[in-house]
Amino acid sequence: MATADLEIKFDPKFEKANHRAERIGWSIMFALLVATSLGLFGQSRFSWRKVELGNAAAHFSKFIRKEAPTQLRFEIQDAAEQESIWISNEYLKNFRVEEITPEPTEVIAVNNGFQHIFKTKGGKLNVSFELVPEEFGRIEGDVARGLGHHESIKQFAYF
Amino acid sequence: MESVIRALLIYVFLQIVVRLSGRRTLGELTPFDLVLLLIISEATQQALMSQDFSVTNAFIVITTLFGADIVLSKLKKVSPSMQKWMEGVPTLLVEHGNVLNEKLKSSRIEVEDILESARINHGIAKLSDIKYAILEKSGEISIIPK
Repeated sequence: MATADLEIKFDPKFEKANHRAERIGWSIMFALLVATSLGLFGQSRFSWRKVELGNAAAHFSKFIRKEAPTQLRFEIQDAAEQESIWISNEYLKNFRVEEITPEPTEVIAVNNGFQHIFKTKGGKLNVSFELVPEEFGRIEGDVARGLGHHESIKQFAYF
Repeated sequence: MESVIRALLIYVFLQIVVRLSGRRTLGELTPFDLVLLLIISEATQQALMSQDFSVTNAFIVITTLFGADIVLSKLKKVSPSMQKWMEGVPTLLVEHGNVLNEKLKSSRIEVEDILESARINHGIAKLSDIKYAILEKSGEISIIPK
């Protein structure tokens, strides 16, 4: 370029790199928008996770927002007359428990967690914990049907 | 601590998004750009303050934002490469009346934008009367007449 009379530091090499970086940045922004539209940060199939607990399952959202209510749902297929769900203290300490549906007949502190006992008529039991995250960042903890096999729950609370 | 993290995250995010939006956006604000800025500032304000509208929290957020800005300006002085990435470099758009189409395309600028700047700042009506047109780091187009 015949720009010797211009006292400016042009840098065509950097301009190309900058242009490439800009396009990559736009792609990331677009991907984030698509993922968000599909429900990555909400309660959708895209962010919903499931852990198996024998003949039961726990459902939860991978991404949750601090101070926004979220659900931890349990499905027990072959509920006995008395069923229980155990949740570790490590998990519960991150939340404010707003509501448990149906209401447990008893809650016992056991094995570094809380065992929620429910009286049922047998068959299928759905239990829903309405939780409000009080911390942000990675949230981890264990859940179990009865006091049996524990499974880990990993979530991320953003703000 | 959370207020500091919030403020820092938003500062970094805004730096990146504003940089990615390109220099033209900053150089010439249309009336809609102004409205967009107001909407962005409203969204940012809520994210910055969360539910804590106390004076102390406002002090913390403002101090963090100014602190981040001071640190960044110092870093830019120490590292010329970082300065380039943060601010960009000037881009030559017209050379001796010839439009450098590739540069215009990558900068998302139309020939009309250059002519408009030439008319407003120098009363120039033709491209052939422009010696150099440069897209400055600030996003403005500077014109050097023949």
